[in-house]
Amino acid sequence: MSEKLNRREFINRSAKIGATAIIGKKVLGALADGPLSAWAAETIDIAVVNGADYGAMAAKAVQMLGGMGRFVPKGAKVALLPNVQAKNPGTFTKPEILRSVIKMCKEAGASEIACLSQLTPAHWEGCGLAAVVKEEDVLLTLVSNKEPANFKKVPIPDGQALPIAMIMNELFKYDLYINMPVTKDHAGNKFTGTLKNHMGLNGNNRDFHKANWKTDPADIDHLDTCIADLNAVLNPALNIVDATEIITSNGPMGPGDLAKPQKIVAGLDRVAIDAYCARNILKLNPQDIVCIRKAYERKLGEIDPARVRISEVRL
Amino acid sequence: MSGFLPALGIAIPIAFGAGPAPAAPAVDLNAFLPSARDLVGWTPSGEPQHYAGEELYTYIDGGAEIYQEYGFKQVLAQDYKNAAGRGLTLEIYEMKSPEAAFGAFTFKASGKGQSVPIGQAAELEDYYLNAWKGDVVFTVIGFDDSPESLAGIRAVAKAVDAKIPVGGTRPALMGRLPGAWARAPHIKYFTGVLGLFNIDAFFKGGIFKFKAGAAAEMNGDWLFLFQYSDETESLQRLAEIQKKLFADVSIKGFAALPDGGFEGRTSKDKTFRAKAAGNLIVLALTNKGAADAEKIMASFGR
Repeated sequence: MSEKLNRREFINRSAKIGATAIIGKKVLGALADGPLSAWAAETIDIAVVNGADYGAMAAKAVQMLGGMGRFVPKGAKVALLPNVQAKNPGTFTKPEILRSVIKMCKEAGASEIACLSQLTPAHWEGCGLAAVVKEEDVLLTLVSNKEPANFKKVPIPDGQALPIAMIMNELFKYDLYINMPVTKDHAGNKFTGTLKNHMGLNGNNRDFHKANWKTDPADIDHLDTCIADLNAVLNPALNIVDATEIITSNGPMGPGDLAKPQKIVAGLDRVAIDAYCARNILKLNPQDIVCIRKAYERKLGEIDPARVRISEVRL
Repeated sequence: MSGFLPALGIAIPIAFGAGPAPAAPAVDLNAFLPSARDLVGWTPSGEPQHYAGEELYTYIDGGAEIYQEYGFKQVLAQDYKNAAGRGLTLEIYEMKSPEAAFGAFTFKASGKGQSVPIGQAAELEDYYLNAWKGDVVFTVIGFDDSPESLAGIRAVAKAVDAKIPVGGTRPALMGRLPGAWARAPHIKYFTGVLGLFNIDAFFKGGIFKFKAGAAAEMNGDWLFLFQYSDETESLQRLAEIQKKLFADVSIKGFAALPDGGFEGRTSKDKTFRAKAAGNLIVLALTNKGAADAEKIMASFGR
């Protein structure tokens, strides 16, 4: 089976169900002319929910965005991309959020749900997410990044630092995916969120980190430019960010200073969401975070909060 | 190619490739793992996980650079549990030298925790402990701040300390921090841009081009020492830095000073003041204004 056939097959299948998660399309383009355009014109861009019941908060955030049915058409095969870092507090997507999203996908009529990951069973078991997968009876697909054949080459148009992405083959079996990062500190660039979480789908992440790490600030910019490049060919149907309990130092693995903003932030626009999280949760200037700025420059989303419709509630 | 993972019951994994075997490590970190006999009430749970060299990028998903910058060799992680079901994780990192391990320790420790007599330096924070001894920096994580977990953290850390036979010396540069700065609880030793950048985003540009650096914080004020080969290089770097900061539109109130140094305010409105001193560049960074920056610089003397 050739690479082109598989890719076309994936895009065709996505188009049939009207999903927005199509590799190669852009979020803003999808909103402008896609099936969600009419709805998008009259609703919010980002939903922020505060509270203590993290599962209910995730459900509320999705409801504020129009309900899971807006993003997961009946019969769709759905992949989920939670952040599975370590079991250290504030480093992984909370199990109750994953459970809530799985339940919403089921209620929307998803025909198949799978969590995709390049990490080990020990990672999944340690943070409690494997138990959710088991209890909710969905698939957990663990892809080894040591085997290049597990990934498909996807050229990145105008890639500034990354000319080719290596997207895991498993993703192409699904009609759409939901991006579920934790926003937190990252020692490499001081911020991680929706954009960086996509490295979880990519097989040549070592190219993001230059070999034989040197004292060279260009290496930091290289990492973030690769992240922006990668995001140009990936397009989640929905982003649900865990900002409930997060580390603000020693990220991404910790242990580090633990903060409890107790927020869930959801929406389609990755740049707007990451900019919101950087500014309002980690108290950083989004313009200082290279991957956010580069993604904005690539027109992957909006960095200016004045141009983003945000609705915030407390449960 | 695929099958079920019995432990998870419902998974369809793509087989994990074995990959090339890592180079034989110089030290067997298993020798530093406390056994059930070394602990009261805590026992090892599961098998230890070992990662060497580039494999660290698997263990720390997307965040191994800072350890590589300091000089990482290998890590061994082992879980522990007690009868009540509480868990601990011990991570033992072997770095390339005592200086590298000390630097990684100062990166990991916040300076806000409690100093405890374990290893050559140790800090107990809300739910974890970091310690340094010789080539090794180790972390014990308790996952909560219950007295039971904190007692377990201390017990495991003391047992590791007892098993590491050799210590090491702190980087000589740390000894050049003056007076009270040398005794500050919040100190950093850094060998690259990430270590420095993680102290304050002002340093993101990497314009200092140092060999190594030391820093200490007291009440929000920072004193930095950047080390160079000799006085000629420090003066040359100071001139280059001055030129770049002068041209940086985000820097406010930039001014050259009679002592050959300069001062200004960052985009976050922190005041900085710098000068060369022998093979060092000394820099003060404070959010309390120019007078405070001058006071910090005066504490260094010459």
